[in-house]
Amino acid sequence: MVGLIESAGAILSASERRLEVIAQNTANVATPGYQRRVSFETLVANRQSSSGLPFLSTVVDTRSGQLVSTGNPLDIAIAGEGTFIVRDGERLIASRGGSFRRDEDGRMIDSLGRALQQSGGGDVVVDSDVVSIGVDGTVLVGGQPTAKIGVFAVDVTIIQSAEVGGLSHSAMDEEVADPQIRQAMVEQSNVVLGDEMVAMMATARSAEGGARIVQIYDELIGRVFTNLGQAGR
Amino acid sequence: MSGAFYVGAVGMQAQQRALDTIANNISNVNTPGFKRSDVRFAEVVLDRIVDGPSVPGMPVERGQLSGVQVVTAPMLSEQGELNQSGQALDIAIEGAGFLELMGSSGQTLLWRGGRLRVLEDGTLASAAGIALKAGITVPADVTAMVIARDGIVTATTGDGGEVIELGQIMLVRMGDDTAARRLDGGLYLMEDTVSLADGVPGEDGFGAIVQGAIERSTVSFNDEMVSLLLVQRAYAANAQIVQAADQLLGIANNLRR
Repeated sequence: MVGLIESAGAILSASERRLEVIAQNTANVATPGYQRRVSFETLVANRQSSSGLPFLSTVVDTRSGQLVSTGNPLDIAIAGEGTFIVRDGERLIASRGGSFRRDEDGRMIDSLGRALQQSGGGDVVVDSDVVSIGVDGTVLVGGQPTAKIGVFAVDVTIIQSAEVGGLSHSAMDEEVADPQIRQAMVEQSNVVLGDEMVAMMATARSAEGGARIVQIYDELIGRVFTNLGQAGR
Repeated sequence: MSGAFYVGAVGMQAQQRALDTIANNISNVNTPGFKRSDVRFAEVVLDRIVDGPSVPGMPVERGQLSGVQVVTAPMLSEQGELNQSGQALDIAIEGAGFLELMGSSGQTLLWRGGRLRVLEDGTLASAAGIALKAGITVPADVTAMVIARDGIVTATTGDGGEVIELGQIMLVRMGDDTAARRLDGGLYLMEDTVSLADGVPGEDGFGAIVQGAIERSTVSFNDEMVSLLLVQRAYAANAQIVQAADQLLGIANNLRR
């Protein structure tokens, strides 16, 4: 009986977490290079009771978004696998978002001011607005190669924690063998609004289910008290 | 407390700001020399450990969900279409450079060109009456003025058709577009810390001065309309999220009948 109320509580709190993930996806529906998070529940055995408590984990959905042409020569997108790495202060962060601009020192920085890293490490520095970026990431300024943008094979499972704490420098070691970079394009977010809305409705219903369990539990306990009370008279 | 509430609200705010930018672009679709602003969304990630049941052997859930951020940046290096206006005092820049104007308190203002005016004392100035930094004085008896692509201003004086050189208009480029602050009338004010590169018009990367032309706004109606629809839908979706979060809290509140 105790397991019932615990399960109901777990359902309710998991619904809330799941809605948070949906909220994040929906908020980033127009963020270039955003990859949607998928939440899934794993059952974690609780030693005290036989019931399993759902525990919510999230993974990154790595399917590529659609590439759209922007006409801005410093927008770059990856067609296929891999991620760029950007430097935020000392932290290295994996990013698929490829809308960059040049800062005062010529570094290519994204909209949050993080510097794009080149193959083998180090900031990509270009000293002209007129750049041509090859499919393999070679940056040509006036026909001369000046840098090579790195596309790294970063394990998706570390991306999640890496977003917070940053990647380790060894993440730079593994590069995608045959990167496919497209200039003047950005990758759209792979969020599908319809899916998120359906998931949102399902979440609300699952929360209602949890609430119903609490009510049934409440009724059962109430009945126990009433019946036992009558029997004792 | 449900984080979905805040993420949804932040999402709505971001879309609102995007809408502001689109509105500003659309309202300036016919403003000469206007540079559209670009809306870019970026994901916000926050270090937070979600409170959860701490069962031994269970992974600690790290929250990385805190919404979206919107960054708007004027796309200053985009070239607008040049339209011939036939007016000798209209100038436009074909390329990435900017004209320098001398503001009333001595600060440098950047300008993409437009209608020029000769002030009462003969100084060549913008239509708003702000003098060009080149400090060109036009004599009173000038009948025709020619501004060459390299910025050299020559004038034909009334008596005898003598051609004299009045000076040269130079261009500047900014290293970092985002350091420019947009002012009224198509002017930009640079922060003091930012260095500007001077150059002769027509030289590599600075662009040439075109007399008798007006640069059109870089706003494209189609693009703005498409973004407008997208923003509207995204806003509605975020509103739905807030509503759903409210519904969840309602369910929790109604647990006790």
